Amino acid sequence: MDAVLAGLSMLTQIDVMIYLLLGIIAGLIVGAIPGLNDNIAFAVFIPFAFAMGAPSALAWMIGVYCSTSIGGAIPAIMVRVPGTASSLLTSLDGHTMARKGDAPLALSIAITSSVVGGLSSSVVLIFFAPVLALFALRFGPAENVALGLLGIAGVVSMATGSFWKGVLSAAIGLLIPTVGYHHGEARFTFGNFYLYDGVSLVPLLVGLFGVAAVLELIEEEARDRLNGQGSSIDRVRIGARFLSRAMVRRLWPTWARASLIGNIIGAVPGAGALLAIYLAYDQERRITAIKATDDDPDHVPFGAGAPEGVAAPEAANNAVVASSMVPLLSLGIPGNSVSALFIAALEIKGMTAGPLLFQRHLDFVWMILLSFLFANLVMGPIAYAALKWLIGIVYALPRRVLAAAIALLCLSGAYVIESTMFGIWTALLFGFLGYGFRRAGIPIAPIILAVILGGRIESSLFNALTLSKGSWTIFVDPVNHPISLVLVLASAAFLLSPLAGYWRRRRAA
Amino acid sequence: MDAGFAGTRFKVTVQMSAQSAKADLIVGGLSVASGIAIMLASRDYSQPARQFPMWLGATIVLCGAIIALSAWLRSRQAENPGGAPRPASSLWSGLRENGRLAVVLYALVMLGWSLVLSFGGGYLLPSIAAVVLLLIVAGERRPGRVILGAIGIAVFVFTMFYILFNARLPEADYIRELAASSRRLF
Repeated sequence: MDAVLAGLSMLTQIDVMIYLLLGIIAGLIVGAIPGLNDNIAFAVFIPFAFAMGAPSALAWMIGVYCSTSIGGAIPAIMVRVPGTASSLLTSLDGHTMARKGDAPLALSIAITSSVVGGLSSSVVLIFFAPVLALFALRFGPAENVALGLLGIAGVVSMATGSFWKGVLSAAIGLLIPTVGYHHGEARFTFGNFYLYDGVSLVPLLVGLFGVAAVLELIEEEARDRLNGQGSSIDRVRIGARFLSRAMVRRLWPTWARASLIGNIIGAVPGAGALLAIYLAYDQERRITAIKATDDDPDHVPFGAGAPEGVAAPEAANNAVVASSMVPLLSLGIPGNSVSALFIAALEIKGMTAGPLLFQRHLDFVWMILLSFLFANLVMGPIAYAALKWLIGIVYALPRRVLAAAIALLCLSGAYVIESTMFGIWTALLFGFLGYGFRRAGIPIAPIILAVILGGRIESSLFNALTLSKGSWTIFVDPVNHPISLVLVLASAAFLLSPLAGYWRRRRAA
Repeated sequence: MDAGFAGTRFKVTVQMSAQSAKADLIVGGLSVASGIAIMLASRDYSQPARQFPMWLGATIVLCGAIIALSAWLRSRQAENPGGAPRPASSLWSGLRENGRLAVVLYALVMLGWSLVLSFGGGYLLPSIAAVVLLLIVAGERRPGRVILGAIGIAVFVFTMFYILFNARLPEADYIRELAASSRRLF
């Protein structure tokens, strides 16, 4: 209880509150600008975290993380251009509603659904993260290896595109933390003094997320220019309105189902918001089709402006947000690439995500948990109040100016970390690599996760094999290491699922 | 469906598939080469230090080989099905059409900015110059907007890091020398 109060008092400090609110506003703006997302916002921001107090830095990040998907729904509804990938399906029914003149209703449903989804996942986070962390304290080296493997297997199996490119991406990611001084010798340092401590995480993330995204933004801008399409969108002055009681009654079951799906998917490492929105949307489409009767005046089919078609993906994508922090805070395994950036922020502040965080910094943990709850409570009213202004400011910012500003912020931020040019070169190298990987269809998420887990996996693997005198059966020993066995089996299931799907499709064809 | 349209669509699909197969062949080949290089470099380390990178090198070789092999099989299927010669496009026009020329130029400006900073060119002036070039590459042609935008962005970033968050930014040699000599005066 003392820790809860300490966390609450940390959160209620005036500067922390201001950063949380600024984070929410920044998240709304970033989400609403097509081409920008929370990854880029964090890549730009993380270097600033050095100069800030830990609670303020974390509060800002939580604010951004929670509100980005609401922001993303605005252009999805108004101009059918999703601001973030997680608003992809919102554009289908949301924009159809807007074309019918129901834009205020669609925006209100998006905001309210996001708040409901976000609040549900905050509650899940508050109840499940401490329990899971308590359980994780029993983990030894074998379990840690198996857990790391599970995290990577989850991301690889869920990554879009080729399975082998996902494995390649994870292997490259695992290789990066091997650089530096380990096991009494310098590996892959090529005599470079700066590499003795390993590849610095922040410039790497700034490069993979920020610089690579800038290059993609420029490519898109140039292509649009050559095709004669302007990047500017006509300004619209429209606001949201409060939902009627009848609409709330109608959408409650949708919110409940979509939030449940989002919470479950969010807690699975690597599954991410896209899977959650697709499942929630599909589930609601089926249920609405079954329930529909010909004489029902309120029935609108999915794709033709169904309010449930906006409510389901919006509730699901926000339910993923806080629940993706459950494995991160309790096990040290990020639920997705955005939550992985929290690990970087925690490391900057000298904290390590995982069960030990609950032992050593319980007040911080509670501050984080309560911040998610508070952010979800206040982001709804802020989004309602700021909507008109937000739409105006968003469409006034040209993409080319944004790209230049992000490029300079990212590269300057990479310098600031260690005050050396090596940070800038690292960010540029990983930025070009990240852009190349995206062009080649190699997913980025497995690299990020593997970079973060790689050091822990290697040291735990070394310890586990030393304990077992080189016997690999330690990982599948049902008597002494049942948890490791379960985790290894779950990893195998994750890795084999895309191959099983491939063989099924081949047999069917 | 209109036969002509269907034929064109088929040709486009085949061409895209051939392009992606070519890209995958390059990815696969590079991966195999890098994996072998990693394994060779790891041989010199002691047993505990080399084990993990060795496995990763082998995994990279395996993935690269599978990607290259499947790309090769795909490229054989897609190889010039109608017998019609593929339109030749120069590297320059190819880059321009896809918007990748802008990406290459953008990357070069960022590299140039970093080099100037490395050689003690200071922060603010090279940043303003770099943002001017970045805005032009991105398609901004109005001189007023380019100059004001560049000054605004560079000064904003400088203020955020240097003044607001008290972080160090690269200093120009001539400014450092000027500051040192002016200190000597007093």
